[in-house]
Amino acid sequence: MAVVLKIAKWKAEGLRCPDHEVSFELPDGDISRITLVQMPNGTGKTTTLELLRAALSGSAANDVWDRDKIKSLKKRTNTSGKGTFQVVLLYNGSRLTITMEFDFEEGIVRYKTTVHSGIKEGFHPPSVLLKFLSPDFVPFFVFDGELAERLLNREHTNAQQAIEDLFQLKFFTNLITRVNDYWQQQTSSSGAAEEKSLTRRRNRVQSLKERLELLRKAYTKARDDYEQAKQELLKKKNRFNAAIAEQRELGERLRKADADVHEARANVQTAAHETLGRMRSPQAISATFAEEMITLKASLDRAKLPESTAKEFFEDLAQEAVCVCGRPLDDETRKAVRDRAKLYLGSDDVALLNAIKQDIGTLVGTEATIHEMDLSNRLNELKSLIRREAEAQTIRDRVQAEGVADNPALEDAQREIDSLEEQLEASLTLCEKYEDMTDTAGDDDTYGIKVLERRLNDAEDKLAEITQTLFLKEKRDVIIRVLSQAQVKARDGISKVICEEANDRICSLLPHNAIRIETINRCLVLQGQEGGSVGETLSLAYAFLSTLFNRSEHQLPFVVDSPAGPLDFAVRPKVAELIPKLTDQFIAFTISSERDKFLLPLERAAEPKSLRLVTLFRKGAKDLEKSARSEQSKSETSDGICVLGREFFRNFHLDEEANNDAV
Amino acid sequence: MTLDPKIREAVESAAATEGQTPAFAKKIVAWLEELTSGNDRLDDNDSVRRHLDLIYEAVKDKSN
Repeated sequence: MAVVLKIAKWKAEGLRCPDHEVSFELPDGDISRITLVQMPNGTGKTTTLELLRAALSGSAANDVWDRDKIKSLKKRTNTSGKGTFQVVLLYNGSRLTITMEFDFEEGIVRYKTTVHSGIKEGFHPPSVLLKFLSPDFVPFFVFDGELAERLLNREHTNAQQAIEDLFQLKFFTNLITRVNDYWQQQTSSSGAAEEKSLTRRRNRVQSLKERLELLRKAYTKARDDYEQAKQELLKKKNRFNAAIAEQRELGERLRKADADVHEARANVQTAAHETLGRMRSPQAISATFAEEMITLKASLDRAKLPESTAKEFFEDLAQEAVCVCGRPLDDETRKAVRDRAKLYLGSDDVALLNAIKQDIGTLVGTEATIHEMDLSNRLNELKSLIRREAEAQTIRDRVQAEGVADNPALEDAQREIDSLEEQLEASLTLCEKYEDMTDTAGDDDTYGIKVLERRLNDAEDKLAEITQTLFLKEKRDVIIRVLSQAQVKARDGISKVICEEANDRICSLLPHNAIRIETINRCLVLQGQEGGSVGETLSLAYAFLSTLFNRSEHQLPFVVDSPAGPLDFAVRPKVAELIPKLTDQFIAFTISSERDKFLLPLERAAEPKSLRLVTLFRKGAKDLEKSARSEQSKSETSDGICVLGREFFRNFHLDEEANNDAV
Repeated sequence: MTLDPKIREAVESAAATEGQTPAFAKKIVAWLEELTSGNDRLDDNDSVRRHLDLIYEAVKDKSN
């Protein structure tokens, strides 16, 4: 079911920002589509945004925010020691209130959730909203430039998960669980030959499933750690090598040394592969074995095995009227032929022995020692190549050490690289543990995931056999494979389309810029570059998020800090035109300098009366306060004034700017 | 919420890869449509059983 979520209002008291309440509700009960909240620098924009994210995601709950963090949010003049931040949401027409109650003396924050059924202690939005109101997902719709940059960083975002959540791909996982449950119910209700056997087999299936789930999670983490360490290591090595290469002569020597190591390593790998191949031949391992094989062949040669059928020939002959020598055959002679046929080998046996003779001749030959000598030579060659690889590595390390000695700043970098290499090695060893195909240990001592999957399959087959539901199991397996494949294809298909559409939007926002999204993994991966300027990243974030939200039928509010600040004047109008199409509720924190080239295009692009302009400022400038109090729609607290209205919004700080221009 | 066309395509493609019929894929798609639109729920055991009876029945036997 599509989720329609809007922010009706929020309120702050006793916190670092001025006490205020901002409402987005219109007189007719609807919610304003676009609201700009103008807050001068130092008014607490960043604090308000942070509180909003925390309220929507529950990220401050369960002591995640420590005492220092909580105390840092206290208003300097707060004497009560308490503070509140409250956000009221409309979810599919119903109200949902999330309140954060701060106790600055104790350094704690408590959540309260109010739904139609009453107040609950803690962060408890309706379950259907949990995938959106989570610390991982909230940054996709409450964001600033820093978060826009995080879209490009796999450590800080999971764009693929956002796609899974928005398009409800989790249904595939849920269906797989239900398909499994159905099969288990069928197996439990079918008759079984022996109850004990059934229980034992069922327990084994369950135990293998649990172990696999554990190992799969651990393997995923090990792989993620490995990838992360690898990327980090590559970046650091590139920077390190670039620093060394700046010392030209040293850089050239390092390049040559790298090439030599690479070549030596390749030679070792080739030789090792060939040597291992030879070691699979027993005659190469032992000349004695080769000699025995040659002796066996000689014996078989002496036995003069017929090239073709032996026993069958006599059995067929016994059915004839006349023998090959011409004599007629009667019952007595036929019986004698059949009896004596048993003394001869059958055609299969003869064929096998002839094949053995041939193979010995081909593979072993006549000289018992040459294979062993050949293997010995290969092993010596391999040792020599390994030595050369080690020497090349030593030379390379020496060149690198020279570079480090000349530039002490590189020592730290070298240490980091060494540490990352150790980490990478450890992660790789861990991954290999889960990829191990050894199948000799018990289930609890086996870590190879594929091995355990095979055992689980066998265990399920055995369970199915005993409950006579093997056919049903095959059907279950087909359904699960279809659902698993469909989930991946759906995610990839949607990611690809979003990527293409987002690139079209980027193209229209930045027509003279080549920045494009190549693919969507955990983060957005750019074509040919790792990152971009603040303006590029923000444009990219708008393009991606607008595409994502437009395609999904869910409607979420979009809250942005400084929607146009980092953008140049050519791009601002285009972003302004994009905003009304982004979502059904767009809220942006702005400062006065962002109005230029942004406000008018936004007003033109927005539907009439859908744009609300709010100015919130801290008390202290008497002229501003006087001007604000003369406005019709305003609210005032002990330290802040909030004014609703276009003229005040447009003119706010205008005199100051005019004075600055005059100077 | 209507089912994204890419999800439908993915189910049809995966079913074809497994040698299953379009009718089989259609049953899965129909169920997903009910779930995403909110007309059906996975905690409705009777409904789940009905859908799974149909889906299991629609699986094409390899020997056919």
